[in-house]
Amino acid sequence: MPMDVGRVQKEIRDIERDRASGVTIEVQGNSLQKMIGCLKGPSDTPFEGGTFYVNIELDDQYPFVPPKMRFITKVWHPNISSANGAICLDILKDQWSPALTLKTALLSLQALLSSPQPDDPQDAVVARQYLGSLPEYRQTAKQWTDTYAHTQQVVGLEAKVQQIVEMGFEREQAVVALRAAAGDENQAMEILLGA
Amino acid sequence: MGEGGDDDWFEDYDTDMSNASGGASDPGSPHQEHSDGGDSASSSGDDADDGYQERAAAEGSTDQRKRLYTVIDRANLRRMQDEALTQVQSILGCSSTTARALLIFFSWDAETVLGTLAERGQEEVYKRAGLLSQAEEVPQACGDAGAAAGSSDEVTCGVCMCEGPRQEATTMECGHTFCNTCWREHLRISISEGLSRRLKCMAAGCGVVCEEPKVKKLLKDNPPLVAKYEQTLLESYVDDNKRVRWCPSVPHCGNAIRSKELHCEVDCTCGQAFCFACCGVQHSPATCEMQSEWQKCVKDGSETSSWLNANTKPCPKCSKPVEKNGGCNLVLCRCGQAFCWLCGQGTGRQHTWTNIEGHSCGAYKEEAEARADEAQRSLKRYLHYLTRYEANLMASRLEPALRQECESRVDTQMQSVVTSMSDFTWLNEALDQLFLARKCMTYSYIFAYYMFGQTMFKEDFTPETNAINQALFEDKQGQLEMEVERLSHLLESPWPLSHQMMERRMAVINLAANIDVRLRKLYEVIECDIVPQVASRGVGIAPYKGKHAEAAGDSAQEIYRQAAAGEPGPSNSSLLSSDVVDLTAADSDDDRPGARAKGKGRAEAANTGRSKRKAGS
Ligand SMILES: [Zn+2]
Ligand SMILES: [Zn+2]
Ligand SMILES: [Zn+2]
Ligand SMILES: [Zn+2]
Ligand SMILES: [Zn+2]
Ligand SMILES: [Zn+2]
Ligand SMILES: [Zn+2]
Repeated sequence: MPMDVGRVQKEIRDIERDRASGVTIEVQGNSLQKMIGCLKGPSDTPFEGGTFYVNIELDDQYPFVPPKMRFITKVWHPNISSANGAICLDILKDQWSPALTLKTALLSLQALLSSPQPDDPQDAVVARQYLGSLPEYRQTAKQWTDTYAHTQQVVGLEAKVQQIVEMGFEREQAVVALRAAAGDENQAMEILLGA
Repeated sequence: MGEGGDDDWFEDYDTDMSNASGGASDPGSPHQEHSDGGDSASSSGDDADDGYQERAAAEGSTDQRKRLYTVIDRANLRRMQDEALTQVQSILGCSSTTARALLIFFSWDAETVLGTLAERGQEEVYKRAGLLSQAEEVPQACGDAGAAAGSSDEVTCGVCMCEGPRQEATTMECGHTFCNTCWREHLRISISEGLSRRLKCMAAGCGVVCEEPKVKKLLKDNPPLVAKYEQTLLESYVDDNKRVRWCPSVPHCGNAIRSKELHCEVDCTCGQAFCFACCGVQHSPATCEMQSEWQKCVKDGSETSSWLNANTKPCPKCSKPVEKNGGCNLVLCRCGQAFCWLCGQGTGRQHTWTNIEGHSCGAYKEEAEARADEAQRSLKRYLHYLTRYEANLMASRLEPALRQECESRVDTQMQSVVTSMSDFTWLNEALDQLFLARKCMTYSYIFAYYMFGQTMFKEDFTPETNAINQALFEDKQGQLEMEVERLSHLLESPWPLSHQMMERRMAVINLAANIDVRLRKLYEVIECDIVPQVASRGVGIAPYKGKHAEAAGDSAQEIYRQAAAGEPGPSNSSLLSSDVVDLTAADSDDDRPGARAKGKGRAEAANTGRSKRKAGS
């Protein structure tokens, strides 16, 4: 059975309607299988003020199997790999339920940013720091947020958007990809090409 | 709790298995293909199908033997599983889905299910097993999962997010409703991914196991999937059960074995004989560890590499192994390099018996020699055990040939005009006993090799205790070996004339009985004297399984008893009434040749036994 396109479209419409939720989603290409999610760093955390992009891939069997999610934006967090953005979260694995949605999954990621679970770490180095020296962890996380998650500070964004549009991509896509790649046009191209 | 317990129904079942194959003592059968009694009960499956419980109840008490394991075929697999389910269901008053989830969670151990429930309380246990506690309230239908209650005819499915008629949606025990299309897809994917044992509700955070009747109803248009679902549920009785294992036969016979003990030798009805603990060949009295070590050793010749170590050294120039074949310590490689045997260093060729010119390694000499001696000693020891192990293994391989030979002799005997005997059960029992003994002997050498080798059990014994243990063991082993060689010889030698068959029969029965006694004594030494000394190691040895020997032993004793009571002869013995004996032929003859033949046979057997022992030691 191919993917339930109707449900995914409904999910996307629902996210668009509910601007207050703080999460957005951007479809890549036209198959509805690749998208980029976006969530705001929760306040009163080292991630406050940051914008975090998440790569999303949907299997043919979605929603009966969980979506594949990975942070594109670099994050300093015990449950997120500082190297590749892989996420350790139960609902993205065996605790997934078909009644959960992309929105609930993105909101869960947001919740994960607020409340790390260092007992089940994805990144052992970060987890050790979190358990050993909380202030130090907060400082590093904040530094990473400032460095990688503040896309407003991207300089010369427009020129780069233009560059990508000339290569045959939609303007909208180019903007999202560049933001997600923190202004790095090569990484943005990789995202767009689905690498 | 013990009364209604797991073991009771198991034993009932068990007894049935041996009854079903009661033909072992059936006087009507001339000889049996499957003489290993209860375990080869090929008909047990069919027999057990009709009212086996009643029969077990009626006849159970007559069979005193307690079998350690039960062979479960497909039909009985379902029955045993259903019984476990019914037991838990009736005690807890729950659904079969609940009972199954609990039993799977507790490895099909009904007692643990009930015990843990009593200890930890229903709520905790149910939750961990993915069940809805009866005390727990039906959780709120989560978010957009649709109105669970209410009389609306339309429901919104929280998975496809579509509205649909209520009759095309299904509500699980937990109160969560989704449309049938989504349920089907969820079940299909979960079952294909091998999650049949715990098909969870689709609602987020629910985790309650879907009820079996509803699952089957939803999937009624997909019989292969239902079959797969049911198969997995059925097989879970084996796969998730610590006390049950699949028979390792290839291709698989479909049977499972349920054993009371981990260390137990199993003979499946399909003919596969295996060790329950390691699923390899039967190897009692050696432990699984000894057996696997030994097989590694025999296979890669790692012990023979210590022979190389003891007898050769690599040349320091070309690294080829060079054998020392003279008295002095200067060895010469084919490549022309001379080197010192003691330290392996290249030297010149000038030397005396005690000295190599320009070379001195006296400091290492003692150590190096001691090492070489040690290696040689341990190699000799290994070869000692290997020789005996292999001799017995070879003899065991003759089993089919000897059985065939005996069968054809029986056929000839049966066709002869002066038939004096029609029941040859004793012969089959003796053959069983002989080859059981051969097998035990074979593996007793592995046992001895490791138990007394001061390596595997180095910490456990002082050299003194070790020597005592070994002497005790070897005494019993030697006595057993002697009897085995006797019986082996007697069974291989041609049959006497028809009228002397009764004596031959008795000799065979006696020897078989003796072997049984010797085997028991050997196991007694192992189990009662030696193993308790290493109890902390958890040494697991499958018990002796001489069951037929028991019968042979009984009848032999009976014969002795009657002989002592001055009864005229075996032909009048009530015990032998099952044998049709031609008295006229036997009685009219002088009994001396028979006696001579018997005496000669014994002497010969004894001689063979001795000479073989001599040759072997
Ligand atoms: Zn649905
Ligand atoms: Zn539920
Ligand atoms: Zn089998
Ligand atoms: Zn074993
Ligand atoms: Zn050489
Ligand atoms: Zn010499
Ligand atoms: Zn030397």
